[in-house]
Amino acid sequence: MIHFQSQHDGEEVLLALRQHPIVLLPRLALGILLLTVPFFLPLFPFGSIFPGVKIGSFLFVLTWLWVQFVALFFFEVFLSWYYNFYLLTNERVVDIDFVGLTHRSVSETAIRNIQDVTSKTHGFFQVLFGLGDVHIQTAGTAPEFEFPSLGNPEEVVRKISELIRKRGGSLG
Amino acid sequence: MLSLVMKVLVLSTIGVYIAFAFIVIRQVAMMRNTLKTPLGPILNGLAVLHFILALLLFMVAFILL
Repeated sequence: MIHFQSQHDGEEVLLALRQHPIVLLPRLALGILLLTVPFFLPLFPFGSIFPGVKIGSFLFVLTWLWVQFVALFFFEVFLSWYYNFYLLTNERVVDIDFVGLTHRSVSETAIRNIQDVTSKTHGFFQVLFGLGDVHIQTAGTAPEFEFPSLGNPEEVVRKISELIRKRGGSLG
Repeated sequence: MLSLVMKVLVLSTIGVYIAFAFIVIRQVAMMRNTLKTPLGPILNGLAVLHFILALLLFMVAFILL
């Protein structure tokens, strides 16, 4: 059950969407590559370069630090995906974005402001995994919402259109 | 002397990393405040664990190096 900060009393989250997890693959692959770095450290002649230094201890500490850093990298990749939500409630559409460590952006528009909803599938990757981008044109301050790389985008468009019809509106 | 310089450099790096780890805790708190999800407490726990491990690393490095 999802609940967001500016949710009104009686407002119900009907759809809570994120990008398809497949979009994480490139960054996860990079993280796995980074994890292999400590395996190459023993190949370097640190004993000759830094005479009289406890090389074993330094390598242990630096390896620990590196592995923890890569674990943090994986954690940040997950957080960035997990908390970037596209919400459809019975009142509005909300786009929640977290960029970096400290930046948060929340955009919303009332259902009655929605003028057009379309889904677009482009590129080999999206076609292969059945993904698509959903674009919502609005009459509000934020003229367009884009929800990229969603799984089953046609179903998302259908649900938004159905909600608009239920509220007595129409598209186009 | 070289050993001491390297120790100070490594400890300074870990010190900066600890500050970064604390910011991650604040980041998760901000995210949880914006969106309440079932995984929130677990992610908070992971961020705190990561911070504790960073502190532990500093202590180990201080003793070992």
